[in-house]
Amino acid sequence: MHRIPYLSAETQPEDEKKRSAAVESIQQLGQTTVATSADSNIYCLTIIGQVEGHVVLPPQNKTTKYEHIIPQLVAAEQNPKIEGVLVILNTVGGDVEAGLAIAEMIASLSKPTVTLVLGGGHSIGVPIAVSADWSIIAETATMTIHPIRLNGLVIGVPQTFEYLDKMQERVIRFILNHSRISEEELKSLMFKTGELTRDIGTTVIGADAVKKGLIDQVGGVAEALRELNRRIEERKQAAGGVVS
Amino acid sequence: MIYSIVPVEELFFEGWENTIAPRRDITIEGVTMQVEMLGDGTARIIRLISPNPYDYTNPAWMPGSIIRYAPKFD
Repeated sequence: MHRIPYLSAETQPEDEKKRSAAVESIQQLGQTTVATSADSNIYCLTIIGQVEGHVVLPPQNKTTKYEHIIPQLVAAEQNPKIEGVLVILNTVGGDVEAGLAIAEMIASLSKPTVTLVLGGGHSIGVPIAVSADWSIIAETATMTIHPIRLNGLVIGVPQTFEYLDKMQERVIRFILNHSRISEEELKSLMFKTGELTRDIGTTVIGADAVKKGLIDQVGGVAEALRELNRRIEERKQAAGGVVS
Repeated sequence: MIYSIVPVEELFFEGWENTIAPRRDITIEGVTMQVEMLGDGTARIIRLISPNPYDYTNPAWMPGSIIRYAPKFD
């Protein structure tokens, strides 16, 4: 039987490698020419489902893994062909540390970044949504802003509350530093009662999120790409017309 | 610590008894994808994990298509 050789391709000489790549594509895809993807100057990150961090979630959950996203963002910063990063969000939240790490990575990129919230950007999706230079939300997209819950074994001592409060504070600080919303407004959204059936908090939809200063604009993919391309042009001009 | 609108009990226990065919993250020609191992030297693409939007327009990598994939042991 044939074995697919690509796992050992690194050890072969250059032309041998090329030939085996052709054989490989016949074996895998039944054709000699595989449509190789064109390079895009825009890096598109999709953050969907749960943001997965230290704990591997059971396979019935759709997740975006921390270990996929972080190296991709490093590559986006380093690769000179990449001129801008578009982050598309449709997330229900997830790991606090992983979410904040992704948000910090996006915020600290030197290249232009735009986030687009489609469907939902809930819980830890909120700091990720506000982390870019410019944020856009679809008209029907929602963001749920609610307190962090304690899960697992809870010790009923004041220190437990302090720990939770610190976790909460990290998320709140990040959102405040990267959006136009005021602390009072954000906290009132977060601790509002009577709006969510199983939780404390608020759901803000599309234009509402813009009005509260959380997100910069209501729009879709056209607005997101227009804004990103505009920022890329601006950056090129600032660099004296030289592509950096 | 999980900060999500999905209740934790749902995250970990809902649907756990439904067995799902083993999935694996593999990289072919620089594109990372999640595949479902079909056990006969082929695999079905579940989803692509790529930041290059053009990868998604490549018909060879449409989710659901079957690729030959057998890990080599040597």
